[in-house]
Amino acid sequence: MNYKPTIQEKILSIFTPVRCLNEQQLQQYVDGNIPSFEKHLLQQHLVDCELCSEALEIFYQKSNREKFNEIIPGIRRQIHKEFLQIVPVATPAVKKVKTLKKEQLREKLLIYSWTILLAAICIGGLSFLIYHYNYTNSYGNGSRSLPVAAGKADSSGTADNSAVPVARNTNLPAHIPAHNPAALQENGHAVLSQENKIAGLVTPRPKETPPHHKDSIQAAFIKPGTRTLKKETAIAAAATVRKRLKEDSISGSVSPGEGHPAAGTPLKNDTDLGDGQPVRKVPVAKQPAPDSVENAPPQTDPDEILYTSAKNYLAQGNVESAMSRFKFLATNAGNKYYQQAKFQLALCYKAKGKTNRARKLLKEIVDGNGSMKAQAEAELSNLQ
Amino acid sequence: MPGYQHLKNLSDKELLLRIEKHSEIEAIGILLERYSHLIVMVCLKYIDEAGVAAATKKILQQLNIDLQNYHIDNLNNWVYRLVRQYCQAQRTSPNSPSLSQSKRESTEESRMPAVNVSAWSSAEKEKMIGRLQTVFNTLPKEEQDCINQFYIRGKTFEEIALQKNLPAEIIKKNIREGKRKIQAAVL
Repeated sequence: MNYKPTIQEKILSIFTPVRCLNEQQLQQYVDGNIPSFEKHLLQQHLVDCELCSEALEIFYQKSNREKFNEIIPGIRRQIHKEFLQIVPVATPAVKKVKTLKKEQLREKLLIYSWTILLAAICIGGLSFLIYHYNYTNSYGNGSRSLPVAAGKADSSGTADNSAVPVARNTNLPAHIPAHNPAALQENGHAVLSQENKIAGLVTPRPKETPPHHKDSIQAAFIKPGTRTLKKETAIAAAATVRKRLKEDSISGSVSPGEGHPAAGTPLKNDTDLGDGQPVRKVPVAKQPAPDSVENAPPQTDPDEILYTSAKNYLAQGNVESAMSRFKFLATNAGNKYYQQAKFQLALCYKAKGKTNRARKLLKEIVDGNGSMKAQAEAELSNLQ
Repeated sequence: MPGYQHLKNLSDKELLLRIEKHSEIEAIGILLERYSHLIVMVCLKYIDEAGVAAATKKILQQLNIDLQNYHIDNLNNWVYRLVRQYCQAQRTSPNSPSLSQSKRESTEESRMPAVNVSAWSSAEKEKMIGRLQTVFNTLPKEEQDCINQFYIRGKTFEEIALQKNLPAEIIKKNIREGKRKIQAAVL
């Protein structure tokens, strides 16, 4: 039900106080966007209020409104700060812009961080691949350094003894003649060349897999306990070695003499080895003749080849290579050269100054009650 | 700030009372905020744009002092006088405009006291209406007509101006003059 004021009440409205126009009312009044009853009410105020009348007069001009809009926010902020302690709140439009900017910044940071992470992963992966490639490559090429080492050895009779430091060690087994380094070196050279011949028999493998020259040795070293050398290849390799040895002996480059540890040739004396077991099944000749090499049965046992080559390395002074082969042979207790290899390894440790390790190995040999027990005890007493 | 909205809804009179009794800073802030936009607009009329902000701040500072030191009935008129005084002082001595408080006080005393019609009883209202009609009849015809059209009929300035074929400012002036005479005679 609409209330209609009486005339008397309308007359009394002369005294009705009306508050000054706020900013919104000013704007609505100027724009004409105001209901008529509200406009009338504001006009009742404008009758008496000079402040609002003048302000309205100025507000009608658009240029003044723009100036006003520039000035008033700072004034209000200061009033809020000094009197009302109100933290200024951004207007919705400003808030929106700020939110948008924040979101954009967040997105950018996210993109950058993901890019950096991806780049780091790629670089890490590439580095790993390069390292892995280099590792396999270097390991595959490692065995090919033998010819270089052999080539360094002087084939003349006046070889530098310093190239064979181990040979001077009196603790070495007697079969390694310290007084004939030339023979040693030559022999070593011959042995090594035989190894190269063996390597030549085998088709060179791609770089990913280690080559098979001394095939059984390298492959066996990679996978201890497994025999990857094929029997046929071993037989062929042994035959070539015998042939070469025969040629060498005929040409006189190799003087069969005491301590002639050629690969595939019978050693003159079992005891000279320091082991109690014959190296080969064939009876050993005291003075190996040139033709004894030809008549000697081929070495088919890869362990035997490994052991012999290790001994040869030792004779040349290449203790590390010898040790690696002895280690391999010493890992398998069922190996026929287990005791000898272990003993030789202990001697190598002793030669390198690692007496504790040598002592440990010798004790193991003694405790094992093997074929090398006596020698091990003797060495142990020497160490103590 | 708790109570900010509550203070914002109070009338000038109630806020002035709070200031007078308790010197409430928040009440002063509400009043300053309420009149700041009007001060800026009036300053734009009399002062260059570059000096309006500084002038507004100075006026508000003075108003803050006045609110705490004086009993003010019609704040809008007080503010208007303050602004006009500052603007005039700015013209005469731009470097150091002085604001004489005595001028504002004298102007305030000449103003009609605020009337609270709602507090009257019905008998008082009837008595007042009788007196109003008596004084109304003594007004010039133009002022009578304008007041009649404006207050009784509820027409706006523009409607009355259109009807009488006069500028709206003249209508407003007639209504103002008539109202002042009535108030002076009755109150």
